[in-house]
Amino acid sequence: MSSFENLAAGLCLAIVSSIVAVGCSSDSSPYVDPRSVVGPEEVPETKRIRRLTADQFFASLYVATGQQWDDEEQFAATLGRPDFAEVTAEGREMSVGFAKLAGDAARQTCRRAVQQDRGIADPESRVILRKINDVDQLDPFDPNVDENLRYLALRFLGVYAIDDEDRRLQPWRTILHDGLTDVDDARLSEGEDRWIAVCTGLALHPDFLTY
Amino acid sequence: MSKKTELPHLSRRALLQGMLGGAATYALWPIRPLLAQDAAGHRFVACFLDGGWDVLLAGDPRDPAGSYEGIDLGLNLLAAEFADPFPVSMGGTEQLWGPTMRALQPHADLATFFRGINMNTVSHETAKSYSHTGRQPAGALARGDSIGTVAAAVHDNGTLLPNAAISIPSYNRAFDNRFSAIRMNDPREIRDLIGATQGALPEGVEDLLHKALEDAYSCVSPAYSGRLPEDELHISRDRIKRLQQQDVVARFDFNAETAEMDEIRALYPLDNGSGRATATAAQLLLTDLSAAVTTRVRGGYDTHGVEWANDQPQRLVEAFEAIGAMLTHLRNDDPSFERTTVLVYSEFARTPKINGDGGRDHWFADTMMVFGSTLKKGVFGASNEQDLGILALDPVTGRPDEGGIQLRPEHVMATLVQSLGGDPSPYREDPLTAWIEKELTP
Repeated sequence: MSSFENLAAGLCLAIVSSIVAVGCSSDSSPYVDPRSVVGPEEVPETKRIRRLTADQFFASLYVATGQQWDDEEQFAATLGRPDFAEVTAEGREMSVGFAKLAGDAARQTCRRAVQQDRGIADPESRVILRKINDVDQLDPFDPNVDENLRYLALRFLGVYAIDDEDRRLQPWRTILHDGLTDVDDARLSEGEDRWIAVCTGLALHPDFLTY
Repeated sequence: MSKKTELPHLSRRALLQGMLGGAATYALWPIRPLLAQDAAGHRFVACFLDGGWDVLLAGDPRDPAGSYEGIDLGLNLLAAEFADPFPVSMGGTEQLWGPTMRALQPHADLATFFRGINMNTVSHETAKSYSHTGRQPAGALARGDSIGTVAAAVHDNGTLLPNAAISIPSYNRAFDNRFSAIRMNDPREIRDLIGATQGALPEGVEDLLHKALEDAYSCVSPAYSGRLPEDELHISRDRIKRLQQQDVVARFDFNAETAEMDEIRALYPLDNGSGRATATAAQLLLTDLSAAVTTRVRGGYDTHGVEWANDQPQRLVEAFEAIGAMLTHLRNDDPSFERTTVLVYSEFARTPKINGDGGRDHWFADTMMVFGSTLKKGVFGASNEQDLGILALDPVTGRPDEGGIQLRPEHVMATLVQSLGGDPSPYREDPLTAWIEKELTP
């Protein structure tokens, strides 16, 4: 056998053995991000649900609660307001930054709104507690709780609930009543915080933050 | 005369080498995944100097002893400390670095420079979009993805904030929403974003609020086939909760009396924005919160007037000191940058001639600097020695070659992205493969 034939045989052996080895090897499975529960956007741009822009969010919060967030200007760019120099598109991602800052904004404005309402005798002048009888002793079991929740659902979400048993009101009723009874003394001390939580929840609801 | 068949000369040694090569391939193939370096977990920082830097004082200087028909080094205007570039060994060759770059000298062993990049524009807005993405924008509107977004998509292995952008826009056109950057207007905002909820209600009431929000859904969701807003809000709220449980916010409190903060204060110039930006970028990586961070290290380089002589070099020094501190910091746990890459860039350069106001205007022949382990070390490319003009370059050696290519941001980004394990095809230019030392596996 000539040296050339020997070389050819050696190379063939090497190539075949390499191909066999490739066939036998198994690549590690691709990494799957456990947070990846939402797939790529497939809905046409014009039909997508859109997050409020930074300025729409500030304005909506002001209209709904009657209060302005102190840190609007500080965080406007972080919430997606363009500067029209480098950034010309509104940021609309439901990012961690948006969720965190929207939560901070909602808590501050709702706290102020509820506390302000407690000092207003005329119910029609109140923003959050408009249907509540007694705002001095803010009782989560006030007889008009359901009427006030229906009013707030309309105010924040545009949901016109005609029935107190409407299931869209249930989460907010749960915030007010969970762990308390209508004879529990603690209910009066927690009333304000629970109404603030209801207001905050409505301001962070997907229907409030999107259109 | 009989005709003799000509066979290639093959020695016994060549045959044995061929067989040994095949056997080695066979033997090593099963453990190939162990030898290859996985892109997941790699860290990336892009440092942007805003306004157009003077490359003659930084990445593409000239020897003041020489004479240049199209360049005015401005030596009569500059302070003596900014007159002399200094020699640095890069990839086995000696290169000049600008006098403002001394803080980066300890990291020359990691450096790859691309010189003579044609930015093809002297408009700030257009050049910024171009340099952030490596793709020619439509007017000033970015068309591609920010390099930080690309890096985050390739490198993320489950971080809570995969992509962060400090004082800089970030673009995501092609990747999943979770790789869109969390944007901060100022590096100090990170503590607001990952810190405790402001005005939090009592714990029990917060739990009830959280439960109510988990059950909330959009009124259009039952009929909507796209991403549901409640799902996206749920993911973000979940991440916030995990961030707050990890309690990493203290690791961004640079005034705290802890050993870690003592080290950071000793390392970074925290009395200026450059130091705070790079320190925050490094902490985002070191706390495993992010896979990629893009930060505007400093602005103020748009020095058209007499302020050029003073402000330009001092501001470059400030930025390079902050970047140098970050490189030192990141090398603590990754000395050879086996899993770290840092890009330093500006939107364009400044004119080689001093204008009538004593400053320099906009110039298109730019430089980009990479510190890492995936590219061959040294300098690829060059600007014209005499006038800082654009030259055609050999894509293999990077040396001037009349038949070569004109280096553009697309080439640099395609090369960088391929080495980092990403897809270079969106850049529509061949990567400079001869300058890729290793490719991370996606």
